[in-house]
Amino acid sequence: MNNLQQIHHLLSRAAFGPSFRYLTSYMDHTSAGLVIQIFKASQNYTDLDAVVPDTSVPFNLSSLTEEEKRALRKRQREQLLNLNKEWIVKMSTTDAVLREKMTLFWHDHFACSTKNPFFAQDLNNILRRNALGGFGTMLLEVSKSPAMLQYLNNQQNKAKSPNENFAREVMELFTLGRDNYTENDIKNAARAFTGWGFDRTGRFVFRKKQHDHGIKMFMGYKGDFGGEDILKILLENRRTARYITEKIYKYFVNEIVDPVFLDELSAGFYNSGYDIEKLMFDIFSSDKFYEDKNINNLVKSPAELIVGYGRLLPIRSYDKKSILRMQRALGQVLFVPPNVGGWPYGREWINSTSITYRMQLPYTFINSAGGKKKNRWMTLDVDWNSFFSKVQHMDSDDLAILILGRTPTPEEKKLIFVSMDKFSYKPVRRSIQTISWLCLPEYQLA
Amino acid sequence: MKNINRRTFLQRSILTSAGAMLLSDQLLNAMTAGPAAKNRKLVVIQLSGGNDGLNMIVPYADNLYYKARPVIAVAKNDVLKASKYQGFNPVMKSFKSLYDQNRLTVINSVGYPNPNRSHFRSMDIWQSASDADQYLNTGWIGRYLSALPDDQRKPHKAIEVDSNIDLALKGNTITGLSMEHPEKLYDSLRRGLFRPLTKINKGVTGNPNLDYIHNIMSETVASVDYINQKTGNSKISSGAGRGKGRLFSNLSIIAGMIKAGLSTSVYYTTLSGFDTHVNQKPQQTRLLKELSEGVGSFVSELDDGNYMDDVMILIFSEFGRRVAQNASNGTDHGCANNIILIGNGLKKTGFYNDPPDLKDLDKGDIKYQVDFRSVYATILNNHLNSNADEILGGEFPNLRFV
Repeated sequence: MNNLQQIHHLLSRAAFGPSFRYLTSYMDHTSAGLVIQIFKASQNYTDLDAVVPDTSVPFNLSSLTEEEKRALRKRQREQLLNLNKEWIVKMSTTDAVLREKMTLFWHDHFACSTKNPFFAQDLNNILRRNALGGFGTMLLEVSKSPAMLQYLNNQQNKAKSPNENFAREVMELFTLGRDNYTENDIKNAARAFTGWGFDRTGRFVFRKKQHDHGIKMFMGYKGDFGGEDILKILLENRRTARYITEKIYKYFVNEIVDPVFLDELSAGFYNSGYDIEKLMFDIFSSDKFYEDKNINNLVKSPAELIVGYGRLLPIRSYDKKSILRMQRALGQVLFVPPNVGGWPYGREWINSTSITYRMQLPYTFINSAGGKKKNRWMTLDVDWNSFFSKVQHMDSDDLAILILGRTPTPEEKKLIFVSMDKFSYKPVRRSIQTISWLCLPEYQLA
Repeated sequence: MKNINRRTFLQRSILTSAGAMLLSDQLLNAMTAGPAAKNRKLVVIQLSGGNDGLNMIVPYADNLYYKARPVIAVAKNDVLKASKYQGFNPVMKSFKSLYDQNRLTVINSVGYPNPNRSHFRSMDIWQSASDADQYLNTGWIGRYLSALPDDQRKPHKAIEVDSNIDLALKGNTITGLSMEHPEKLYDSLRRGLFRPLTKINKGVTGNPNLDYIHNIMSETVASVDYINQKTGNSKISSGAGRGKGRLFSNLSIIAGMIKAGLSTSVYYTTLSGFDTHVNQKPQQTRLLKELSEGVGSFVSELDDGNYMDDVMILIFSEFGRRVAQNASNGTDHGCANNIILIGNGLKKTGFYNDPPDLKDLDKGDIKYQVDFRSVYATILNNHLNSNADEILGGEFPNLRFV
């Protein structure tokens, strides 16, 4: 594998593919040097701030009239849409791209949906702040966030009437993974989380009177446990480190686990006290990461695909409705996971319907170059002239490697040439060539 | 196989006479359609999130039901009473009328040993037809596809009307087709590199996901062409009723494809949102209404032309919910649940077995009496004419509903 292919691989995994800004300078780096830069660039970042808290909303919505409720719902949908767009823009433009990639990973891991846009943004910022920090801190902050407390019904979890939803999911999905606990562990953990809730501003509150102060038996431990104790016990369990590491491995390295490499990574993660940044650095700086079997074999999620386009191409402006339609068509709307288990994974994204959307979408970007506005309902507004001026002196095989990880085959080149040949204006020809690369099956892979 | 299949028929014809060239496709189809090749269809409606079966098929004669659910029980007077013991949720009018016409069977207490109360795990168990402690990455319909003879083993033999494909339709060597609408799928292949690429992407690359994508692309083109050829002239609408919900329009699309004469034998679609931990009643009522309206309209559309004679509908959910309501006027995850079958060919209609026993519970949940794989086995053997033991990897006693 040559250096450029290594850079393609690194950018596919630690970022969302190559960025327009750096297209012509990637070849001046080694992948080892680029790793260090990528981690450094993720130290500076900003929160999402698309939504300001709405203090006019009463805690109990039943005091509103039907008309007020409708107006509120409409406002909230609008804000959620803004939030969605702002995150796509942030992922597509920031230099702290690894942090955003990790935030997207945690957004799936801690899947949650709420109608309250401020809560959604708050949870997203918790994930971003901790995306490369300590997993334990993130777990605690997520568990205490109004979005998650609401989503998994912990507001209703009271001593007299425990609600098991959060207790079950925290073990099944967030820490241990399935089958590593008993139904009794769930019942006792639910009791420990009784009284955890939030006030009308979204601040965490511990409602003492609703907490079950009795003795709980949990995973071999006995005591008057509160929620924090349960989380602590879950983190002490090596299975949590293993479960999280394996999931990260499957999203960043390979669907098929190399048990030796995984053991090494998982032990390192546990011994570091769940330091996510260290784990990710261990992965991206390892020689094993660059082994042939790990190259270009992960299926891109719709969010990765859309952000990948946004980073590669100079986008004039983002239309929020267009961005939403794109996410819907591809099957992944950010902030709205299908269920507590998060989104599909790997080849689950690929079926007859989705693959046709995936292969069609890049063509809609061309209209903005030709001035035709026909397909504007679902597209990205690409400035093809800037793209052309940036890449005109670049070797087209080099560019293809950065984008696809390989050069097109002679047969593919022939096909692409036929569709370019109708045009003589160079920027248009270049745009069609680029679009065609985005429609090769390899582009669906990272 | 006693029947001459299409390929043997063609070979023999070519050997015996040049006259075979004159045979039209239609005639060929007619000649090869023996009883075993009868184009039976199964339509699966999956209720995702864990449907509360007790408030769908209400055991209105059981006081324990009302005791366990002081707030959310369906009042006796409201129940659309069917048997002496059970009746339908008041919003399920079409189901009651299918019941009255002897075209509907309810099987109570369907489940499996050592039930799992996780949505994902239990849904995987139902879709893959596995044991509770067995992990399979193929589904029962996918394996049905894999077991079809060569000339029938095509993705469009099982179609999921949705934007994604469920595990149920995934086989080892073949996976069903998913689409939101047949025309939409055809149109999208007309532009760009999709079609030409399928002609040059041949052979195995050694990269499993890349091969998978190549394969899906080729299969898509072949199946889309077939479906377009069949449905080309008939406009398939997604239903007149706007605002009646996704299931309603999905079922209309399925009805259109059945009427167009596709060789598809399994259609699959989902209605989700049944995870009613909090304030269950309005949410479940809305969903059951959507289900009832969708199924009612689907059946009457197919009655016109006797298409229903070949169709069986199976309605299931990954688990039922706890018998007792929780403190939030909802219900938590449970175990065994009822399933509903609808069709003209049902041998035993009405209630197949006794109502659930609400005295003898497993940690507050209904115990299973019928293994769900017995339901699958019966459908596979007696409706789809296939070999259930092979597909399910074990013997499950057949039931007598078909």
